[in-house]
Order: sequence, then C-alpha cells, then structure tokens
Amino acid sequence: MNSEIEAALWAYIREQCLPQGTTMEFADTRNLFESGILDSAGLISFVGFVERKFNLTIPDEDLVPANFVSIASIAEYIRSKQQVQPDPAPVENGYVGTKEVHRLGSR
Amino acid sequence: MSVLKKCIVWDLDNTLWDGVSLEGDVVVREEVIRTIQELDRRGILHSIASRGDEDLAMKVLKERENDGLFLVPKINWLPKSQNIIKISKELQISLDSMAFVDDDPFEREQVAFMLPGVLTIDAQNAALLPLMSDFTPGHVTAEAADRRRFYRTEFQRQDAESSFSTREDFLMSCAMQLKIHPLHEENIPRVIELMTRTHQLNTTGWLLDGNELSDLLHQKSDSVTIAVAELEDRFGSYGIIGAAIMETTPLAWRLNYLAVSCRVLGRGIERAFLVSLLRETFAGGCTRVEATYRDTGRNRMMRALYQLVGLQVCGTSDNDGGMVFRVDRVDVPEIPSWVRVL
Repeated sequence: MNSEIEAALWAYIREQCLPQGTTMEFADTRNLFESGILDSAGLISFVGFVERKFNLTIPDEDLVPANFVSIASIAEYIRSKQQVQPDPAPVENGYVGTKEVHRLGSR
Repeated sequence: MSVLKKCIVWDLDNTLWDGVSLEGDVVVREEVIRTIQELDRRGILHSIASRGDEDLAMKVLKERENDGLFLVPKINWLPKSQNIIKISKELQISLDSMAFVDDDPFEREQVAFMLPGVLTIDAQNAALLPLMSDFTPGHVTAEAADRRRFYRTEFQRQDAESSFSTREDFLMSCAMQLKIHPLHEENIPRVIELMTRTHQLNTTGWLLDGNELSDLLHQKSDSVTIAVAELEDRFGSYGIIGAAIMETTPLAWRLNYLAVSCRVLGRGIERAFLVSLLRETFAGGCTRVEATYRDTGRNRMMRALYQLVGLQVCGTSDNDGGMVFRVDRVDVPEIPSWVRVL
C-alpha cells in the first residue's frame, strides 16, 4: 500500500550494506541477520536512517527481530509507528512523546 | 581524563618533511619518522591529510620506504577537516580518538574549529608525542603492535567482498573460526585493553585494572568464569577480539560483562560469541539465563544485540542502574552459519 517505504529501505540497504555496484537481489521477507546483511552495528545505523527519514523515534525496546528481521517487517513497523505518530508537525499540547524525552535524558 | 588517541593524521610539507614537495626536493624529518614508528608499535594508527599532488608525495614516501606506515592517506585539495572525517569513517575510529599534526596554525585552527574532538598538535612538537599521556596506553599488547597490519588485512577483505553474489557467500568464503577459551594469565593485558578501548559493543562500560582481573581469575570460588574469543579467517588472525565475564549463582547463570572489539564489526562475530555462550550454558543444564546491561550512552548496539538473540528485559539490577535481561532456551537463535566456533 505504500511502496515508497520499501523503496527507501531498499535504497539504504543497497547503498550501505551491499558491495558497491552489486546486482544482488533478494525478497523483501529475507532474514537480514541470517543472510549476513545486517548485524547489531548495521542495525543501529539502519535505525538511525529510519528515524531521520521517516521522522520517527524508535525506542530501544523496539529493536527486536520481529520488527527488524526483514525489509517487509521494517516497513510494517514504520507504518504502525506512523499511525501512532501521524505527523511530526503538530507538537502542540506539549505532546512530543515521553519516550523521546526519556531518550534525550538517557543518552 | 583525556581519551587515548587511536589515530594520528599527519600533514606532509614542513611537518613530515622539510620543504614543499611540489616546489622541489624535500628532506624527511627522521625524528618524526622515529616518533611514528614508536607510536605504531604502541598500536596507534597513522594517516595523512595533506594538500598537494598525491603521486608526487607518495613517491617521496616510497623512497623513504615509509609508505607502509600510513593507512588511507588523503593527499588532495579538500579542507583537511573533510579528509579527517573520511579517515575517521574508513578506519572506524571516532573523531575524539584522533589527533592531527600540522605546522600551519591556520590548518590546526580550522580543524579544531570544525572538529572540536580532534586534538591538534604543532608539528614542531612532533618528537614529544611519545611522552604525552594521550599516546601512552597502559600496556602494549601483541594485538596493538600488529594493529596496522590488521587494518591492511581488513581492506583486502573489503576488496574481496565485491566479487561475491551474496553477502552470505562472501562471509562463508572468509572461513571464520572463533575460538572461545577460558582466560589465561597472559591474556590479561589484552583483555584490559579491550575493556578500555571498546565502547559500542560493551554491555556495562565496566573497567578493571590488571590486578583486579587477575584477582577475579584466581579467586577460589569457581562461580566466576571469564571467557575470551579469538578470531581467525583466511586473511589472517585477529587475536583476542572478545571477552565475557559470567557468574553462576544457585538460581541462575548470569552474564555480567561482554565486550567485542569494533575491529570485527559487520560479520556477525558478536552474535556468534554471545549465542555460543548462551547455547553452551543451556547445554550444561542451566535453565535460568540472565545478562546485565547498563546504558553508557554509547552502547545501544549492545542492547540491540541482546534483543536480537532473544534476550528480554526482566528487571533492574540492584545497585548501578543497570538492567537485567533473560532468555529462554527456545528463543536462542543459531550461530551464524559462516562462523565456525571451536
């Protein structure tokens, strides 16, 4: 329903996690950890990209296989977050999200 | 306390040598070369950020047979701060672990302004570097003296990668062997070095000195186990790249500390090490497995690793604001297929 998200994720994986100029292809559901494409370090960089690109805050407790195991699961996770945080613009009523405040303080 | 520097970026003209290579003959400063050789022995890496003509400058370096000392040299017309950022990325060394030596105060100020974490040093003080605490690690280990070679091997590895059609095939072809064994007395300096230098893949930021670690190793009770991991692949040996401290209590097996060198990031080694420890524990009949974690502000990667292998938050630890994770046997994943654990 929103292939823009998948396209952005693919662009990142191609650019950052695969050899330059590669023609390597795999399914959206491929396990990124078992296939050696992501590891804990790669995931942290990827999460940083997703946070910036989609204007989301991803709490540490969400860094679990169910959310990040494949391009398909990450896209689904992003969509679910976008429903909870529909638009970053309205910051009135002091709603920035308590998690974000916590994260700034803890880091 | 200042951060121990891991890499020094050198200017060339009137710093590494007297004169300007584009303008004629230059004379290499022997005292600077001796400094670099001494710091290289301590495990500090060297690179170059210099304006000028790369071919010409490399020719001068090769004549003096010193080109092997410098990793990823940048000789071009870009601002030096940009070149330092590139070097930092290519060597995976954070900017606050880098120093920059130049004779030109403008260049030093420019770098200090753009990159406040980088220590800038006047070239006329180059010979004093080995006396500064920023460049004096507590111990010089075998791994330290070979660090430059490890980086060169790593570059070969990256070149080899582009010839494979999937990343897994490439990782398989590397023939990685992870040897996990109990800590021996002679490994202590290297483990201390690992604890001091490793910030990202470090569960607690715990720092011990050699005596404390030795006491832990020799204490009578056998409830504490310290394991180290050594990595070898077809490109060579990386020495000890990981350490873990475990405690067995009547109620549970607990991982109190885990660190894996960032030099081996990107190939699932940290996962192989942690999963091996967990699997071995479960195989030994233990039913309750826990692991501690403390947010140091730099180790989010380690928390991600925990969660990726099935560890889940189950509480906080008693005294230091840490967190306790636990995992059930069925949730522990397989060891990555490309790593052979010995």
